[in-house]
Amino acid sequence: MFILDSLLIGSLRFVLDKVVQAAEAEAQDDSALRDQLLEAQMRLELGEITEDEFAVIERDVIAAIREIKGGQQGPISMSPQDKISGVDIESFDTE
Amino acid sequence: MPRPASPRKGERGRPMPSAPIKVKSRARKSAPRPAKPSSKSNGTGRAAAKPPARAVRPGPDRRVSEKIVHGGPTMPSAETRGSTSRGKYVYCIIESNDALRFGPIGIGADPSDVYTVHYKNLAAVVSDAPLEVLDSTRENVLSHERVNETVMREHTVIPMSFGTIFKTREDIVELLRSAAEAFGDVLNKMQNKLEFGLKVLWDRDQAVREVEHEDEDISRLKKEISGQKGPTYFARMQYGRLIDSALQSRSERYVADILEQLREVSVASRINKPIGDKMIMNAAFLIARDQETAFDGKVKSIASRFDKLTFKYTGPWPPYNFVNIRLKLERA
Repeated sequence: MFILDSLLIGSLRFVLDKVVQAAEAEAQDDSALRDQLLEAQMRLELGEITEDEFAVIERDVIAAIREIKGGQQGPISMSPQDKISGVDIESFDTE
Repeated sequence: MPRPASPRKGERGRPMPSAPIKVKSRARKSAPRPAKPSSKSNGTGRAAAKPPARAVRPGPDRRVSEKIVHGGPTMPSAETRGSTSRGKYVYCIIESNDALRFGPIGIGADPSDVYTVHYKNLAAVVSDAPLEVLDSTRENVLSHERVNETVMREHTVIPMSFGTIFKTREDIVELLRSAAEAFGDVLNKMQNKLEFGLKVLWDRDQAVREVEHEDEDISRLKKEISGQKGPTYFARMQYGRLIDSALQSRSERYVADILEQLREVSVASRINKPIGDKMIMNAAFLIARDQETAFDGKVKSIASRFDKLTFKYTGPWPPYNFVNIRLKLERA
């Protein structure tokens, strides 16, 4: 399916507007793990591994991601605790 | 890690091919436009929530959502019961003045109803979900995607990235209100545009054989190495380097050629990092709805021309790669 990566870090998302949290997030970057998951999904699609083999990989990688993230971004409430302090938009450029 | 939705020249660093390694020989040409959705269920007891088969292209004649008569600004739902353990999972943002329902296709073990939360002409497509962090398992990601696919049959969507849960309906209304102008602009820009994915894989062994055959230096060096009892470390190193750079320029040629041909039928394109060592291109294209057939035809003709490459062609997707809205959230 190959969409995982786009779905996790693309489109509309929230970033926590705190220096400390930004530093934390950087230190706890899980992109290597996500790459691992993506590759496993690709191999599943190409028929190189079975559903069962994929399930094992997925379980392990998800567990590792969970360890890193550990509820990094919980549910969002807008007020009074959480406020949107900035909106940053990028979209395609028409040529 | 921001991923700017850059136009087509935004090539990101492609990892250098590593020294030749043995890979399973698999030079097959995949049929263009595989039936993406049908392969997306992993059969873990979610059969009931499967989307309609998508052999048929979503068209304007297919009504998926059911408009309900608007009795008031609120929807009767979980939050009216004052539950504190239920939040709202958000899938995407659309433009709609009418309250919509999309059926029990929500994320989670027990799929709940998917409906809309409104602010003026904007609507967030949501379902009630437990207030806990959702793992990005394939099943969960597919559930998220399935809802967006359903919604985008009739609406232009700004997809939400996976796993965003709000505490209450009011929080979502506040989100829509505080970024209303931005959402309106992006929805306008994305009107009648669809994203398609195109991934190209090659058989690396075969590519190695080809460059060995075609490149005189490599060919000579290979003979030299295999003719000796104990080839020197240096000769092997040099051989590896030559192979790597020959493969690199060959794959770049393929990619440039393919992109060039798709340029005229797409609004924008984006190159992402290839996944694994067999992928030479991982691209997303933004296509105007009225160019879909033309794009489709182009992909098919490219796939038949490059019959040694494997093409993975998917879509239509919401514009994940072409909209990037970051909302800075200040937490007390």
